[in-house]
Amino acid sequence: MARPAYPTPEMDTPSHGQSHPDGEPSDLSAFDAIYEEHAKPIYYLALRMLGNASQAEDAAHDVLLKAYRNQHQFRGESGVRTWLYRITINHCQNLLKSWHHRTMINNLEPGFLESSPGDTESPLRVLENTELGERIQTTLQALPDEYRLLLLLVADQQLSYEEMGELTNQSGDAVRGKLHRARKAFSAAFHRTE
Amino acid sequence: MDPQPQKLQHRVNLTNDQETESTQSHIQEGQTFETVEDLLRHDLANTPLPSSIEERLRKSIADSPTAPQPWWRRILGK
Repeated sequence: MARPAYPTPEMDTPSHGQSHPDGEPSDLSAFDAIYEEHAKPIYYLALRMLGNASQAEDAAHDVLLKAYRNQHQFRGESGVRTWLYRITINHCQNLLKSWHHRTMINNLEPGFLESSPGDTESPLRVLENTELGERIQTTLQALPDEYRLLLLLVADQQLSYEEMGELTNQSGDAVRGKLHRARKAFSAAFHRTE
Repeated sequence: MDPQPQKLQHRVNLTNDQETESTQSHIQEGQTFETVEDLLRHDLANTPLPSSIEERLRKSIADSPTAPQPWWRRILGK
């Protein structure tokens, strides 16, 4: 049996009068819950896939808007996070293939690779996290695309190996084997960034 | 879970004029992560979500065209 589109308590009480292109009622309050729970992981996945905060911001906006407009297409065969990640991965992979991305990323200064730190952090903590973020980005970019994506997905505790396999078109067992090699490759590359 | 070959360590590199008494112990400790997943989760937790995404999204949703209800929905009154 298919699960409801978004498993939130508000989903049966549309409140904002918006409708989808096909006439299905959309529920902004339910979408707010989606945003609260999933926006940050989506942004982070895009940030580390694209290596650029500005492009990741655009990508997260585009992905969430696409999800809002197509929420009636979500049938519940997979979890909401898996569905949103699929849109994010496709979107980012298309961007990475595009001439525009290749041109833009080569013209950016190193500082653009990182997101802005929060205002409430201590200067030392900001420096530490900024440096760490740069090391992580450098390390991830040294890895094969598949390893990078698998590591970003396995860090999300909401996803099972089977869901990761679904997102990367392979079996859960294949994911396990590749993750073992991906972790080793990441560790070796991370130590080289010291 | 597969065994992790090595712990992952990160230390900030501060010049002398940036060091203070209050931060000294923190500098010496640095950050150590047992697994790649732990490291990436820490990175995620410390990566702020730009507030502009939500603002832009609300505007985009508000600007989205709304389509009329399909005929069957109008007839059934649902």
